[in-house]
Amino acid sequence: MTDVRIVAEETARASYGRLLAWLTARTRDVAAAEDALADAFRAALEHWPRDGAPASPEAWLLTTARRKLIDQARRSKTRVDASPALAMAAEEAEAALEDEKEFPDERLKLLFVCAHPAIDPPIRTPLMLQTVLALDAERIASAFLIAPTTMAQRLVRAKRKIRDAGIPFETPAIEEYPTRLGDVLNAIYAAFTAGWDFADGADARCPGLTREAIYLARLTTAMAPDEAEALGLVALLLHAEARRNARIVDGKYVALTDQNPALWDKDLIREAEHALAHAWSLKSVGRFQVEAAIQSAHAASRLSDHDTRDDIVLLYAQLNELAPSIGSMVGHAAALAAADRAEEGLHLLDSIEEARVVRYQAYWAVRAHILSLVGSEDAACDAYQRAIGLCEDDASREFLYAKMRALEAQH
Amino acid sequence: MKYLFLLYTDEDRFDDRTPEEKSKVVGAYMAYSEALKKAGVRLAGEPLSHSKAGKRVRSGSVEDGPFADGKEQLGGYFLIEAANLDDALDWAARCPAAAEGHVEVRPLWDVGG
Amino acid sequence: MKLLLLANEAPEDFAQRENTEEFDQYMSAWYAFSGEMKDAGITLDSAALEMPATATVVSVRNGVRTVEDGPFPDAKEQLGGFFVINAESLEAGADWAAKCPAAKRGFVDVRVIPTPEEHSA
Repeated sequence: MTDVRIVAEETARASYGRLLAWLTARTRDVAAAEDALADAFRAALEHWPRDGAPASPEAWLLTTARRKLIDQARRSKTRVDASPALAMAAEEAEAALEDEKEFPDERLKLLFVCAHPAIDPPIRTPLMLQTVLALDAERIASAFLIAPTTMAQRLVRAKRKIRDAGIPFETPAIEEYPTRLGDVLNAIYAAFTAGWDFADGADARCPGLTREAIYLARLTTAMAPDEAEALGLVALLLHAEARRNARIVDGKYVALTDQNPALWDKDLIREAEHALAHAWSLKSVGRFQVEAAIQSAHAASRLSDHDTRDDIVLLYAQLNELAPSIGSMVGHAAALAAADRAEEGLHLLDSIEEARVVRYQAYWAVRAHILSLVGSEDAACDAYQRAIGLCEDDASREFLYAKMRALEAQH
Repeated sequence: MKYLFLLYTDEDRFDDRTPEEKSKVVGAYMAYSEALKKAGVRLAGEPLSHSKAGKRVRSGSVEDGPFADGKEQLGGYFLIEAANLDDALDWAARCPAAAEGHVEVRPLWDVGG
Repeated sequence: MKLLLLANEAPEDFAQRENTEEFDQYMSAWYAFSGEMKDAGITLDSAALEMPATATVVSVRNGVRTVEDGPFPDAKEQLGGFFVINAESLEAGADWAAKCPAAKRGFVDVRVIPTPEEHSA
């Protein structure tokens, strides 16, 4: 894709999200607002990359959408319909545009609605991706490994709930703000992992919707600039994204320790470090900051030849206290092994119930690695087999086969 | 619920592989099958010989394989037990046939008989 | 030899499943067929599938997943059920297939299940 094309699409997307937030805030009807904007957005994606984005993207979209709304309102006089209300909101939006030139951005409120406690957690992220970023249900379904019809039904149900349950379209009150923002950040993080039980935490393979997650996280920090955890999330995602080109080389997966730092995107790393420093200065520690600090320590050890292995162990211990999960425990075990404490790592893995890891590929990969370090080659090979059996792509399968063969060759 | 995974892959491509490549593919399937077993979800599963060794029977006609259905042919199946479709799809994505070709996931019909 | 019989049913067959008047007739044809094979002692496994519209297709390319509504491939006849049988020959399997209700309007594929030795060769 050319740069012009990307810029045009991003402009279209940003304007779409802003307009949808505006219309939804006034009608609470996400589905109707989406319908109203759908044609206009499609037309924008067709024209803007070719002719360049218009001076006022929102005005362009509004004019196109409003024509359809008025038309629709005229046709559906008899039944209850959101189009008159939408047309009114659209008019109001046009007036706002004329007055201020700058269109009010209410997308953060829309994020709060999507991640509202009344909305089922698994559908929060898909809702965000669809309403704020205009991703279609098929694409979201694929990323989350859900049948498209099922995903579409769940989205429809969630939108109906927003409309019918009267979920308020506003920034949460100060006392519940931290929890509510936490819900938003968790949902954004879920776009990044998108249903993948990604590697060992030390180097996410992040085949999820990383770019979309970064967009949403940056949007959050743009509108809430002094939220430590939001900044932490931005830093974490940027570190992962910075390694994209080093992670898969010639179709082969490359572990973090074997990656060529020259292939890392230094601008993204700089932005990540900047966000993380700002986050720490706010003195309100949380899981995303700690996860970002782990990635930062990994980057530092490669870029400046610092031995950060003990720091990483400590950070994982902290992460396990703040937000214990199988992923953080497996990451902790891997960090212990890297710091020449393989026995402790194995002990930690043994403490996880097997029923919880029957589908968790990273657990078996890390277990295999640690077993090979403590000299249990046969058990290590078994664990490698188990990890291979849980792979989704050939790159990871190849990677584990190579490790297993190397182990077999050793003895 | 029970789900059938239908594994569609390019069977000619498999035949063109070197013995070493073949054993790698077979190994990946075995590892997958073993992972299903260890998770306690595998009910059955079989590979199939090349479709040229098969027959297609219609009323009044028998045709020898291979069949002209397209490049990807049914190459095997797994029958698994999963809590729901989401879980079944999560297993299906890990089947080597998903990266090689396509895996169709079909819920079984409980006829009650 | 172990064979897999794949009953590919026509849209009319699937329609019978959802038609209260034709349902019994549809089922009894299947029971007769599966009963006969069971009596012959050759059935190893069998199952009926839900309607083709319930199919979902998963693929992964370069680590990127695609999930689509099925079935795959998108043909007129679709798999409605299968039998794993122990037959004397491929021809014997084809004879059984000819008796299958699906062979009337759809078709039945007879596929060979290799022995473990054949498979790893």
